[in-house]
This record gives sequence, structure tokens and C-alpha cells, in this order.
Amino acid sequence: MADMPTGQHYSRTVRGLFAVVGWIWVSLAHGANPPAPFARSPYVQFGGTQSIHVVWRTVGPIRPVVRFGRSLDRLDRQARNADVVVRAALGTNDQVLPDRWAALRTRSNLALPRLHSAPLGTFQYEVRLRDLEPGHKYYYAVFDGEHRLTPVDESYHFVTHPPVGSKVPVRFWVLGDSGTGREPQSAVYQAMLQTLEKEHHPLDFWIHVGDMAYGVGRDMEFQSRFFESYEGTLRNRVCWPTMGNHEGRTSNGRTGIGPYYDAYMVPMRGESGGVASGTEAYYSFDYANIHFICLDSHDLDRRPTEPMARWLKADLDKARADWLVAFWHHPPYTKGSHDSDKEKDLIEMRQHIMPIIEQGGVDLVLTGHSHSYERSMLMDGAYATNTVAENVILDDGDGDPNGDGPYRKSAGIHPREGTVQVVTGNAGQTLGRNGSLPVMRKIIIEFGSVLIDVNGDTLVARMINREGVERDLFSVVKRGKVTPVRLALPWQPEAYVKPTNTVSIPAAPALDHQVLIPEGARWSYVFDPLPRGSDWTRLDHDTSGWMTGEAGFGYGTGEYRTRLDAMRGKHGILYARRTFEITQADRVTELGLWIDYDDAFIAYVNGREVARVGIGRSSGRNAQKITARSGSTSGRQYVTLKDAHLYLNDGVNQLAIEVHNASLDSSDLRFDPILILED
Amino acid sequence: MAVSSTGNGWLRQGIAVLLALAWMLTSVRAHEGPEHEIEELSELMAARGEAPHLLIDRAIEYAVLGRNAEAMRDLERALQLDPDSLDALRELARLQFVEGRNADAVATASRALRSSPENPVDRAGLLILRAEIQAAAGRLREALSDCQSALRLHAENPEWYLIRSELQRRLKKHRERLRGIEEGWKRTGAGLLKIERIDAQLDARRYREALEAIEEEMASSRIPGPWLIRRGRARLGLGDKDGGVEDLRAGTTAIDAMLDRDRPDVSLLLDQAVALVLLGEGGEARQVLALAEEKGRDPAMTARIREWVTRTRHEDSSSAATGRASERLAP
Repeated sequence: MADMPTGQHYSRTVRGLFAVVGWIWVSLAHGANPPAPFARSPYVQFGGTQSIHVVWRTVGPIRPVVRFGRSLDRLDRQARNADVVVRAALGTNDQVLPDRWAALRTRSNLALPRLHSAPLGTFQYEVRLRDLEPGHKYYYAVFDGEHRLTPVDESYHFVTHPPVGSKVPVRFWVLGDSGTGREPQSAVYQAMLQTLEKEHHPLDFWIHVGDMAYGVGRDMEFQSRFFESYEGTLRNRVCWPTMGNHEGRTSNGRTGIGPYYDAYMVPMRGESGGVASGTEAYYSFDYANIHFICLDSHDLDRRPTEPMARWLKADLDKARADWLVAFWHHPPYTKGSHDSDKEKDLIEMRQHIMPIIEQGGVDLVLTGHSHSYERSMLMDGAYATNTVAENVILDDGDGDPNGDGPYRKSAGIHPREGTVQVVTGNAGQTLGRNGSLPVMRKIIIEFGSVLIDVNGDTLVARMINREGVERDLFSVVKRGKVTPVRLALPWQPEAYVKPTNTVSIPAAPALDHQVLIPEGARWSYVFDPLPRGSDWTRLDHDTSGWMTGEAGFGYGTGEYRTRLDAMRGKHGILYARRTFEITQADRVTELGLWIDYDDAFIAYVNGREVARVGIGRSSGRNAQKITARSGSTSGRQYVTLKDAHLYLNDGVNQLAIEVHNASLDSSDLRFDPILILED
Repeated sequence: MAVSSTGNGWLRQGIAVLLALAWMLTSVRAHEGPEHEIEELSELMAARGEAPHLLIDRAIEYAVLGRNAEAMRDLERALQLDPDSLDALRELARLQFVEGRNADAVATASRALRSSPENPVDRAGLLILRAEIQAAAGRLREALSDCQSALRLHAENPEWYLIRSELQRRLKKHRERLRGIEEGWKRTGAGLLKIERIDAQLDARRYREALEAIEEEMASSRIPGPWLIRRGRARLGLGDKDGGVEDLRAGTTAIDAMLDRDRPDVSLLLDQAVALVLLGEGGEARQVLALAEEKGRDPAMTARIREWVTRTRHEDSSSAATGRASERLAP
């Protein structure tokens, strides 16, 4: 059964809105850009019992030095030069570069490994700190030669993995589909941080199950929607990633190339435990008494005779930990925003990979992709399409120690004693639901993420929603000998009836943004006569004869800086233009309009259409199917200028907008835009 | 980045408040998977006109739903608009391959290669794709040649060494195969290449080396069935008939003990089929293989084992395995 009816969900969402407004304001006023001189603040990667990596970026080269030690005021060790890897973005031979960047194309710099789609002039430093003690805390600082770049701040620290096999308490955070840069992403993160603080129990590390950089995993999307969003945690806790389909648009698991692979460092040679994969696309690592396995469900062959599945089998063959946890992006079981009974990638993960996972004795599978929280009962062998619950459920209780009790398995690793599936693609992207999968025990369509504690033979997982409320709790205990029994007629969730007119969260500006064209800016505009063709949308168009005025424009009800009463009853279309400047177009993540309009508009950047609202076909005088804007949606809306970054130039750019009334008889027309850039 | 103007406090505050208001008042559709993406992309193209990148995006969503014909149609349209689009060519070749249109797939991959991708890794990836298609079409030498070219351009991908190894096995180039695996192992450190080396040693009848490596692996193995079967092969090859048969039987028993035949790990079934072939139990091997095909839902992955089983069809099913049989049946 779904845990929260839609109406209740809505009212909770509305109440929550008021609570976060203050927080939004604080966030808007205090952006999270990396402090100078970093283009990407230092973060830790690829941890182990005796080593870890510190990674950061600068604009232009530095002399990279990392000092570290057991106390903040005594950083008495220094990483060796041989343990530093440098990558750079220096453009291509046929690219016309500004002098500043052209000067960096020296022979030695061009020999460096290349960063993909990073802004020109970016240098990435990856420094391995070695010969560390297991389970110890170290502080670190980054220098340019002798000049210290990071402040004297205890947040610049890390803790090495405890000895392999040790039964120390372990806490890790799991989230997926977060990388929007919008408010829900931050709310989920803050809720997790507040939970840690309230419980005085920090994380040991975290796992991201993919889609951390919408829309296509470009370098700048990683920067603003992942690195800046989680900077405080990235600085001292390793994030173990798996690639989502959105990162997969620009990164390739077969070649290991792209912004995703630039951003992360993971073990390829079994350095952190497990069988060497030889690739960053899939890998494994040990943490205390847990063995973690990461797969690439996006763009590799999933069949059991192919390399990834063969490696999985080999890795499971050698695994000796008390607990086995696997994670990847595409869920084998879901009816959230995706449907595992319909989609090929999901079906293949279920039919080809899950048999190996369950034969290998994996306890927990963590995935995302579906923008929902769904958690299964203890289950085994559900490979059919469509998924059914009969004879695949081993325990149909809720797994809650205070409810039906924890799921029980034998101590050690045994095949086919049951796996719990957790789909947690609810950390930022718009939520969705298609139905109820019969193997699921909890289906919660709320923003949130998962905190997992493992202590000896007990695992406890909790879904914490964006308000910090614990919305699901289940536990698995591995003790003694348990003989699994398949249930012929297990508990099943209630069938889901999709509501009509679902209320959901609309697009909103990124929290961290700059204003390119402010409210009240002066625009050129014309409505009589309208220029012919579409040249008026280009930068070089001659606008002599156009009028100028301050936004907003309009007539009818409301107040306008520039009134257009002459249009009433005579002219249904307004053309408006305004330039804006950008000094480095390859740093742009997203452009958007924060716009009040009536009734409809089309926006162009440098002559290319980037947004269309309320106009069905064609443009200008030929525009068709114009929809009147409903009174219930009045006020400013955020409209993403899709693909605008593709058309931007360094220097001056042109924004052009045509505004349409649904009919000449309309009593009003309104146009009041602000152009925003995600920072 | 410098911009023409920057926001100020009151504006940001205003935006925050308006954002919250708009949030409460506005209804939009939730994200609802690939069908929704297809709908949105279709609407976008109806309004803005077709663009190669939008067509490719839509093709990817169609492919996720298994609607390959529509995906290919979009990719072909994208190529009409941008004949050199590497993304479109790559995806189209892959889909043609999936659909069994091998000749078209080779032609598309070749066209992509002629567009000369600047990045050597892109080029290598296309060569591997073409090699896989050629191999599926039975053109092993051409496939091997593509594979060798790819590895010269990019030598870091363990998967590509495995593809080359399989081609060399099928072409019975055992010495080159072992050399190539060794090179890949040194270069990438991939554990799978270590296992592949053992299989290649068995295929090359270097049973003593194989036996040593197998026993080393068995010492740390938690799932002994497949290793027992490999050891059985090695022992048979070394003339230890009793030891070999004992291992093969122990291997199949170990797999039986851990396998749920209603919900099997197909890869274990394939291991078991190998053992049954070596034991001369062709009939049982065929049954196991049929189960693997039924449960695995992909006949292509059982092709190699089926080839062995077919070769045993005319063998005397009552004869026990011998060292000679092992050599004859060695894949």
C-alpha cells in the first residue's frame, strides 16, 4: 500500500513550502561557488585502509602540494610528486583560443591527460596520500608550492577505512537522481545533515546511485549540480558513484571517457578489496565487514556471458565479508517514474544480473533512476516479466524491528537467502509513479534519501524525507542458521490508481544563480510594423526604428513600466530584444527565464529558438494554436531555455522574445522577463 | 564568469517568495519515464522543427522501450540532417546489430569510421563495434583485424582484450591468444583476464600451467563448482582420467547444490553444460542448455556451448570421458 495518499502528500508539500522559503532565501543570498583560487574545491576520493586521494581544480596551473597529518596544526607529511596526476582542458588544434588559454598550450601541458568538456584552462590535480594507518583521522591542506590555498579548517580531513573484516559500526548515505541544482536537492541534503547532527553520528562515506548531473552530465553540470551542492561533505567523505543515464549522454562506460570519469576516481585494480575490474565503469571495495559492488547498468552489455557479469561472478566468488551490498542505476524492480516491466535496461538487469547477485548471496541492492522511494520485502528469484510476488517473497513483513521484526538471514554469505531492493531516485528530480510493484513493501513518493547503519550482524536502513522525517525503517539480521521459505501468497501493496490532475513541483530556478538581464531592464521592442522573417532574432539585426522601454511591458490590469495601450485591439504580437554578456560561454550550465507573461511567447538566443510556451506551431505572424494563459497560473514562472548553452558566444549575446495574445480582443497583454544563469 | 549585471538582495528575495507562490499554484506533469520523454521531445520537434540531437535523444528513449524500428527511423532522419553525426551512426550501427541486420550494421559502422573521429578512443570504440558485428556474421578474420587495430589505438580496456581472445580462440590462434591476454593483464590488471588466461591455457593444452593457476584460485574461491570443472578439464588433459571425472562430477554436484533450477544463474548452467559435455553426457548437456536458453532468454549467449554439444551429438553417449575426449571436445 502506498504510504501517503496524494491529497495528504499535497498538503504536506504545501506546508513544507513555507518552511523552506526562508532557507531558499538564505541559499540564494549565499552561493556555494568554490572559493578562489579553486575552480572545484578539494574533495576526497577512492579511499582505502592505507591510502586516499585528494582531488581539486584550478583555473590555470599551480605547483600542487598536499600536506597532511594527524592533527590540524601539525601537517607533518607531504604527498610525493610521483603520486600526483594532472589533467587539463586546453582546447583543440583547430579551436580559436583567447591568448590567455593559447599560452597554456605548451608541449608539456598538451601531454597531460585531457579533461572532457571542462572549461578551457581548467587543471585538475589528483593526489594520492599513501602509507596511512587504517581507521585513523587525518587533516590535510592544499598548497600551490609554499602558498597555502585551503584555510586552516578542521573540515579538511578524512578517515581511512577500518581494517577489512572489522565489525565496527558503519554508517553510509545513499541517494540518487539528485543533480538538478534546485531546491528539493538541497532540502534532501540538509535533512540528512540535520539527522546526522541530531544523532551525533557522522557518515563514514556515501554512495550516489547515478543521475547526479542533469541534463546530460556535462562538466559544468557536474560542477554546479554536484560538486557545489555537496561541497561540505565531498571535502571529507568519499562518494562512491555509479553512472546514471543522464551522465551517460556525455560519458562512455566502454571507453571510460567523459566528464563522469574525469570527476571520479575508483579502484580498477582491486586496491580497495575485491577482484580487479580493470575499468572505472564497475568496481568493488571493502569497508570494514561489508563488501560493496558497483555495476554500470547504463551502457554495458548486461548478459551473463559478457565481461561485466563475468567480473561480477568472479568478484562474488572471492567475497568473504559479512555483508554484500550492490549498487547501480537502473532498478530491476520499480513502478515509480520508470517501469521495470516495460523498459529494456531494467528488464535486463533483472533477468541477467539479479540471478548472479542472488546466487552470490548479496543482501542489499541499491538503485535509482525511478524518481520515487520503493523498498521490497525480503525476496529471491523474481526474474519474470511482469514481476509477480507469488513464490519469490521469503518474508512479507515490513522489516521494522518495532513492527513485524527484522528480516532474518543466516550468518555469513549464503546463496538465495533473500535480497532487499531499495530504489532511491528521490533526491532532487521531479517525482513520479506508474503503479505498485507487488514485491514492494514501501512505496513513498516523496523527496528523500537513505541512511544505512551496519553494526556487526545487523543492518538498519531508514528513508529520511526532505523534512527530516523518518518515512521508512527496515532491518536485516544475519545470525545463526535460517532456512528460507517461499510464500505462495505473500502480502502485496494495494493496486495504484493514477490520479488525474496530479499536483507536482514545477521547474524552479537553480538555487545558485546570477541575473543576466535584471527586472526593469531596458529592452528594444516593436509591434507595428513587425519585421518580416526571423532575422530580427539575430545579434546583427538592425533595430533602428524600434522603440526602447523598461520591462515590464503590457496593457490592461496591472502595473507596467512601459505601457503598450496602443496595441489593444489592433496588434496581437510584440517583438522584444536585449543583449547580455558572457565572458566564458563554456562555463554556462543553464539559462532560464523568470518570466511573467500573457498569453504566450517564444524565446530565441542568438537566432535559435530555446523556449516556446503556449504557442503550438510556427512563429511570428504565422503562429498557430495560441493558448490563453490561465488565471490560475499567473505570476512569474521559471522557463528553462533548453539547449541555450549550445548557442552562446563569449562576449555579447542576443535574447529575443516574441509575445503573443491569444486573440486581438484580449483585455490584457503582459511581458516581464528576467534572464537567469545557473552559477 | 563576468556578466553584464548581477542580482541584488531585494530581487533575490522577491524571486524566492514568487518561487514559493508559483510552486503552490502551478500544476505540471510529473516525470513519467521514457514515454513521457518521447512525448516531450515529439512536442518540442513539432514546435521547433527536427534537430539531430533531439532525434537522437528520442531514439535512445525508443530503444529503452525496445521500439527499435522507431529508434532507427529517428537515427536515419538525424543522419539526413547531419550525415556525419558520430552519435547517430554509432547508435544506428548498434541497433542494426541488435536487430540482426549485420550487413547494414557493418556498413553503418564503416561509415562512422570514414567520418574520422578525432579522438582515437572514439575510433577504437567503433572498430570494436564493427569487430563484434563481423564476428556475429562469422567473418572472424576481419573481426580480429578490427580488434587489433582498436587495441593499437586504445590499450586500456580489458573487455577488448577478451573480445580479441574469443576471436583468437575461434580461429585456433592459441599462442597469439595467450600472448594477447598476458599483454592485457599487464596493462589493465583486470581479474577477468587472469581467468581468461587459465581458459586459454586449457584450450592450448597447457594443462600443467593451467592446473597450477586453477588450484591457486580455488584456495580463495567461495563458489567451487566452476573451478572444479576447470580442474577436471586440466586433469583429463594430463591423463588423470579418474581425477578429472571426479572433479567434473564434483563440479556439477556443487552447482546442483547451489542452483535453484526454477530461477537459475544461467552462467552456472553453462559451466555445468561444459562438464556434462566432457563427461560424454551429451543428452544431459543438451537438457541443461535448453534450460539455460529458456531462463537466459538470449540464445546468443549459449551459442558457444551449443556448438560443443552439437559436436557431441554423434559421440557415444554411454562412453565415459577420456583424456582423448577432453582434447577432442576442448573448445
